[in-house]
Amino acid sequence: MASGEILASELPPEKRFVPAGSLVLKEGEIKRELLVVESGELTAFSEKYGVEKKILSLGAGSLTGTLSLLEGEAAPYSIRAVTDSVLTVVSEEDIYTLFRNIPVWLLAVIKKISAETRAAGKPAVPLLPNPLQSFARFLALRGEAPLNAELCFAEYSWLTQVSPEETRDLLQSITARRLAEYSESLNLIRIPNPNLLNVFAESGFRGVFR
Amino acid sequence: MILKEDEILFTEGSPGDSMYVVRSGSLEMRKREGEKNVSLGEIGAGAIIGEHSFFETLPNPYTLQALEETELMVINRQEFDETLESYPAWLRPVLQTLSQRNREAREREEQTQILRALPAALFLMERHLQKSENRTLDLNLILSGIEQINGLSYSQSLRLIKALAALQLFEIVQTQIRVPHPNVISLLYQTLFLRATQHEYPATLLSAGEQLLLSAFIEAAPKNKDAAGGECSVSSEDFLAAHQKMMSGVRFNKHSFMALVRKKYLSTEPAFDAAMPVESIRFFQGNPDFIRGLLELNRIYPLLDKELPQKL
Repeated sequence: MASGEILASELPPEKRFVPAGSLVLKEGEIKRELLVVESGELTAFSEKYGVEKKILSLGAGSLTGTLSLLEGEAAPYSIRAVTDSVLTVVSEEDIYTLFRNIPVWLLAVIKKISAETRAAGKPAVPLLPNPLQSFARFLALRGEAPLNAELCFAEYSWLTQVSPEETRDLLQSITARRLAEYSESLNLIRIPNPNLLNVFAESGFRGVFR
Repeated sequence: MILKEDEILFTEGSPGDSMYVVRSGSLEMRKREGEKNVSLGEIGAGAIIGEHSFFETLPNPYTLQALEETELMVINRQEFDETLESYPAWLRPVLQTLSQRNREAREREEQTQILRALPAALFLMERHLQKSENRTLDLNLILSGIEQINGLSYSQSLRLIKALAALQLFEIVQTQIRVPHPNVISLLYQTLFLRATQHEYPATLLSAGEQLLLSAFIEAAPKNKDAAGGECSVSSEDFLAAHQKMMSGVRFNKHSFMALVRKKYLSTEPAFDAAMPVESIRFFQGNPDFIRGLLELNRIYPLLDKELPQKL
């Protein structure tokens, strides 16, 4: 691919000389840079508990700062040069210039991986494909003894992450089918025939009873 | 690359040595879940396939079959390496870091989903144990029940059940779950529910002093009474001898004992009160089966937060 030569001119690498003993990066700092060690030796350390603790050594060819550069994350550790060192510094601008030049499929892969990582960090949602049938199965298993409605909603919500408000709506759908009775004044749920509710739940799982 | 209708792109478990971009057409994702072959949905034009297995050199996690004639762009390892050679050397480790972080995030998410299904697993076991006469449950019944109530997949539910078995809450024997202390499942369920909803310290969780007293009661209780499942009495001499044997030199803790009496886990003849000297107790009374369950609950409870995630 000819773009190798184009990139060489588009991405003049910023070479940075770092004298021995100097601090390159401070823990917690947000610096949108990727650092590639060209020569020399550096040490990564943390001072979280007031004591300096070495985390790793960085020699020629080592790289750090990917997540600071791409995700804007704070530096997880400080970096200090042990010997005189030379670093290549890749800035945010450099990487976006590169992304404009890489093949579309590779850019799509990077975007997909980043989007998935971000989505995985979001609060959990219920996994249920069919909450109504799940709630029917739950009530059927609870049996004929009258249930305190608020406790029932809290319990089902705990089991499934479906909110108590949504659970109340599910109960309405069940009572509308006369598979359960709900007394608002007593705040009680009664299941006259758990077996019938089970049949409803089973048929729903098989996709028959819609 | 063009796939004809019904042609398989790759099968679950085969080496993930290429990435694909769907140019046109569609494919169905399928995965083995126990004895079933479950559809995970469809993939259409523009989708990227196989990047996780490719970057992490892992087997393909599912089978992909063309639903119609489908055109794909194939990026194999050689082509990928040649492409990267045209760009700065740091691009490869950047991709590796992104992929590794993605894998860690997905693993964390999966672990969280599995742990969130713990109440559903205990609920199903507790309910079905009420109908079981021999303390045995059908493994598949529990796994499909978790899937139906919580939505967790069959294979993930199996991971959860195996992790609980590793904590010795029960044992898995072929296709059955054998529960030595059925009331522990019920106690654990109630304890976790109280912790989750009422933010109060459940009475079932015992202090070290309370555990010692209850263990002494079990040690002193007539063994043949255990099977009956009812209340039993232990003489004061037997109880105090068992207490001494279990923790030599530790004095009878009146404060802990009072807590057990208040919770109605133990009682005495004559009825105990705080001002009463221990010597005036003639008999200690309790239900050995229930107490054994309480002690087992207190063994397992701290392991749930600490060790269960590691067993998954």
